[in-house]
Amino acid sequence: MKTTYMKNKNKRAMRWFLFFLLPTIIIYTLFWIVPIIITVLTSFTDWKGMSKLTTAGFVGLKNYISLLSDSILQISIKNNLIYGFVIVAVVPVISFVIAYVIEGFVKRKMFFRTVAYLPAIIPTIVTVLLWKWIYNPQYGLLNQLLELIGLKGLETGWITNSTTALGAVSFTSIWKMVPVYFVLFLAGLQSVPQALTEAAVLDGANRWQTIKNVTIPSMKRVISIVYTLIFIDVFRVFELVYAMTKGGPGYYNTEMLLTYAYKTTFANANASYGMAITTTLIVLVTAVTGIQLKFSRRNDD
Amino acid sequence: MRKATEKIVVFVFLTILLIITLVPILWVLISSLKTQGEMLMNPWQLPAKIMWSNYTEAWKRGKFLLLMKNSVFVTGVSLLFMLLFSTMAAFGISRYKLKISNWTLIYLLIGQTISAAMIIFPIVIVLRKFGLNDSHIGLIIVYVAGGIPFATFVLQGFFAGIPNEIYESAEIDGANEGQMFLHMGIPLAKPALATVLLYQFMWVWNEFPLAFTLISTTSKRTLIVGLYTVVNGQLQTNYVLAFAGATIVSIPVILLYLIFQKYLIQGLMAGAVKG
Repeated sequence: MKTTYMKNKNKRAMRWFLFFLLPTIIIYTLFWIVPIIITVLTSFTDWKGMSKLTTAGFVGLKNYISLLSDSILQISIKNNLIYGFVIVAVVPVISFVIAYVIEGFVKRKMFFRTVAYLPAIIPTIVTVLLWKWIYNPQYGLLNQLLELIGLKGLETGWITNSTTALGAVSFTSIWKMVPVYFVLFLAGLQSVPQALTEAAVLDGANRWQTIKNVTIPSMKRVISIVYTLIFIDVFRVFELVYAMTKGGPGYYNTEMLLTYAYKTTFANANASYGMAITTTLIVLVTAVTGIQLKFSRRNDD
Repeated sequence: MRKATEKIVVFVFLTILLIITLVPILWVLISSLKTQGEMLMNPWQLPAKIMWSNYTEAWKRGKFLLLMKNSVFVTGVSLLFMLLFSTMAAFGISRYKLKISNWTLIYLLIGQTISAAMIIFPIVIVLRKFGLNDSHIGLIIVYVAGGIPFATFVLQGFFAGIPNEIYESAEIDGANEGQMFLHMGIPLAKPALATVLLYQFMWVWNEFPLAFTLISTTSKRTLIVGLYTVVNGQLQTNYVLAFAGATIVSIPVILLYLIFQKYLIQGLMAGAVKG
């Protein structure tokens, strides 16, 4: 008697579950997952993107083998790795320090929080317009600032000079990314039990010891999320670079993996080859997310 | 003594933070009210006379009225359906706690790690199949699809904190599942919905790669694509007008942020960070 009741209840629950999930699953699958599948599948074909998808011929790993000897791709990987290294080294630390200072030392928290988040709100296209102006060779604010402090010799066109372009793009990226992660750290700091910090201070721990032994260990989860998200962000970088330098100046000086994949697909009309680059990226970011998920689940148990 | 040094360090730190964050933004704002000559000659001074006409001219030359209409429509409809569908999904996932619930979350997580720019060409292909390429509806559907995972995670984290007893007592009172969703789920989720609204508004309003690639008809462009086109075309050398345009585009999203800012962290606490 009871089991049939439970069975009916479960059946009913399943029906309602499907009812609530149906619109999400349909739209998400058709317009987000199917494109991912198309990306992966076409990377094994000779499809150029102009003809119908059904006319594409299977070529096995040909595109992937071509990747290995593509010198522009190698430049893009190098740029993306340098950019990634800078971002991963700088963004989490600065974001944490800002969150820590605002949370622990400031009376007008709301004001500073509001201001510190502003760069994240401004559209990337506006950010690019603004920073292109800061980097302008003739009138740019950065050059004027250098002149003001007597370093006129360092003046240059920051994003048109091939040696400074990658650094300039990375700096703008940091400006835009720090607020995003600062907020995550802020949320993390607020979940650190105050009693623990107070106990540490009572025990005579200094500020640094408290951060190292109490704050950071209780924020393990947020920290692991932050590093995972930044890692993914670094390899997905597109809009900022595309709008700022289009991968230039000169010979692909700021080309990233995704800007190169986009160009290959659209401008060079070599879709399947672009898809091979993208598929590599998809595998990379999915694997990292999977590892993080597995790792954080294990920590929970 | 140590307290005093600490105060100085914090003060210097905050000053640098304010300068780096605010100066570029305020500078654009102030320059947008100058004449072109003033901006080039005296970049650090306040305008001698405030040039509101920069705004009216940018508005006219960029055809911002039309672009604004397009953006309001696309953002509004996208958010409406994104919020509706993801609230339903999050409610379903946390209410029934079936085995499949967890798999659904993982299925959604896959999409969350993929950005629009990565799969943009196949999206064009799929939209073409449905006859939705170069249309607002097509763009809206893609925004809904791409925005659902994040929205569902945050809302699901929030619903997960609601004790089962609340539903059980409603069940005893004779409410069915649909009524529970409408009369309990949605009202309870309001703070999380505000968080999702804030983040997803920022995404859709500011979104560039999809809007730029999927829409080819000039009159259907969104504000951000219009701005990009005009500052790289007509207004390429007219900086003050470009800055006025940039300010116009940024105002709605900044206003929404100022209104909803207390939800910036609130909703994350339940969802992404703890859950």
